[in-house]
Amino acid sequence: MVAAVLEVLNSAAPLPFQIDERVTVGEEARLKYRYLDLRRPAQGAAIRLRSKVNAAARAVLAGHDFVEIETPTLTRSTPEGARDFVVPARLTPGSWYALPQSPQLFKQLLMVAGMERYYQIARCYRDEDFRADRQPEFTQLDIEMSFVEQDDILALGEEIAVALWKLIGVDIPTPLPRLTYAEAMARFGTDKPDTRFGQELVECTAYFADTPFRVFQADYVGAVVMPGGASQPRKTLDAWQEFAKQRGARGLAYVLVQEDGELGGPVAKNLADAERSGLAAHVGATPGDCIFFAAGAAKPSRALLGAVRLEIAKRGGLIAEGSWSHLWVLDAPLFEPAGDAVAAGDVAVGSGAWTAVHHAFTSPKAEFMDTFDTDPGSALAYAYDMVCNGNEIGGGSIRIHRRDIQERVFAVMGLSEAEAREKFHFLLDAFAFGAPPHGGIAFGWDRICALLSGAESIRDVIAFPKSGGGYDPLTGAPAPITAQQRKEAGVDAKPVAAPSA
Amino acid sequence: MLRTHEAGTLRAAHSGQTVTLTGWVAKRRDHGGVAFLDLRDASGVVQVVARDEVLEQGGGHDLRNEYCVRITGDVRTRPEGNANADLPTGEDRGGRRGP
Repeated sequence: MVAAVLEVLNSAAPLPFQIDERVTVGEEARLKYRYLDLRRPAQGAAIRLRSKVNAAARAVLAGHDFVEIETPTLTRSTPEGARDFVVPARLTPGSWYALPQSPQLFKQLLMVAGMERYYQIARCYRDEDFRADRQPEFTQLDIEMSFVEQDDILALGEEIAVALWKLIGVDIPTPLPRLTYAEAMARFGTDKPDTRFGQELVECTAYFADTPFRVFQADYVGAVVMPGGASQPRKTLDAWQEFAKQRGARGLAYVLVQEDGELGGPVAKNLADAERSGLAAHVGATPGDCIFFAAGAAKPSRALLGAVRLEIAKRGGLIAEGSWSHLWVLDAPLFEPAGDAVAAGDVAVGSGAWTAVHHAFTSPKAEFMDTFDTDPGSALAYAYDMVCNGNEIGGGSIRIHRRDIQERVFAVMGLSEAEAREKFHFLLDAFAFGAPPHGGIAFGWDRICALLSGAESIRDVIAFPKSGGGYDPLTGAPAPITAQQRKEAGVDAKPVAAPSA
Repeated sequence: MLRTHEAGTLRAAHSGQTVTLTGWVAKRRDHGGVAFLDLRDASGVVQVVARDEVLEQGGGHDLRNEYCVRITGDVRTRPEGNANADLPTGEDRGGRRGP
């Protein structure tokens, strides 16, 4: 255009960084001036796409007569796998609200209320120690339905995923592939497998049943093949040992398949002749490949191989740019040993040897209804996760709607009737009034938006994210409060001792 | 799905079809060997007629208000003169068959 009139509506101070596509400043500065950061095209586009993602999900849900309902964010502290953020109650000094870790209990109450189909784009809060790319507050698309079975929730979840990926011109073929949890662990060493590439774990336990090699005389031996890995220099192979040690393993055994088909590396000479001659064929390796092994207890060994598999894909460029893998992982265990949950950084609910993998309200599958309390380790749940490119982007379950079953689950978790009542009395009370069979799912909205935007971090799809340690460089939160605020809030109030029994 | 239809969507056109509904007992009246139930779900209310032996068999003999139930039966239009103009489903009632 050719200017005829020009008027300055407002002037701009010298900029802390240039508003263009080149990122020349650190994230701290970008977040401190996030309003300038968002003027950059890609950063602004990510936030705009997020709005379209919300609208697309709402359109799908409106098509099924869902009711959008807001649930409280000042609520009661209920253990849900992580630590609560708590808020002092000025009017009852010594008492505290908690910010919800999810709307889980309220959405179940809404099913008792006969809403039948609920959703909410819900803000959730978890006071966790710093973990990579987590935010203390995050968003879920939270969904719950009555009178449904697992397949109904999966169908709805797929319809939503299809609508979201359509926004970026990607057609997701449905129905999505389904893996059982056990299959995912055996083939990929993780409950959120990335199936954009092969290199699946190969079970070698039976193959090495009579091995003279002590390390492989184990409950589980597995392998994963690195194409072209035989040419890695010694230094790189040593670095793999370090990789394994950082993940709690002693090391990472490997065999190099030389170009002439002979096996090299320190492990090969310990194997029996028959083991050596058939090994490459058993694991699907060709000359020039490296075979990595893990041996020991199945769970940690598979986890190590799963991590190695991902690292192989990263180093070898095995993941095609712009490819997508969506799938369901079904039939997760109902319980896990409480020690495993604590080791993973979660809070074990209850004092028992077992805690819920998903949460305490997840229904056992019908075939385990009679045995889940006598044999908790083998019971499977109506629980499902949607996995995209190796990320868990959604998860849910069919819930327990019968009080007697809920009480048996609490008992396995070591929650006494009194403790369960103290924590969940409102839910247990509600279940006494004709609670309908129900189930639901929650999608990790930040992660989904990051995947759709091609963003590295969920911070890129949150308008005003926190940086590491939960700090907001823009507002300077969290910040000290005045003595007056402190007094009014009742932070220092001594709780009134409960009357002793 | 635990149901084939939503209660409030049944119309005279469904007459003769076998349907499965879920919902809550809004009202129960007994008339010598037959119970009349108002079955409510989010979509509306439908009247259900159940003979005592069907109630018994489904463990619903002591069926009270706000029990959550699943009912399978044939859709029938109400007899002449019994239509309830206040209910969108007022021309219909399901005959209950089992739980």
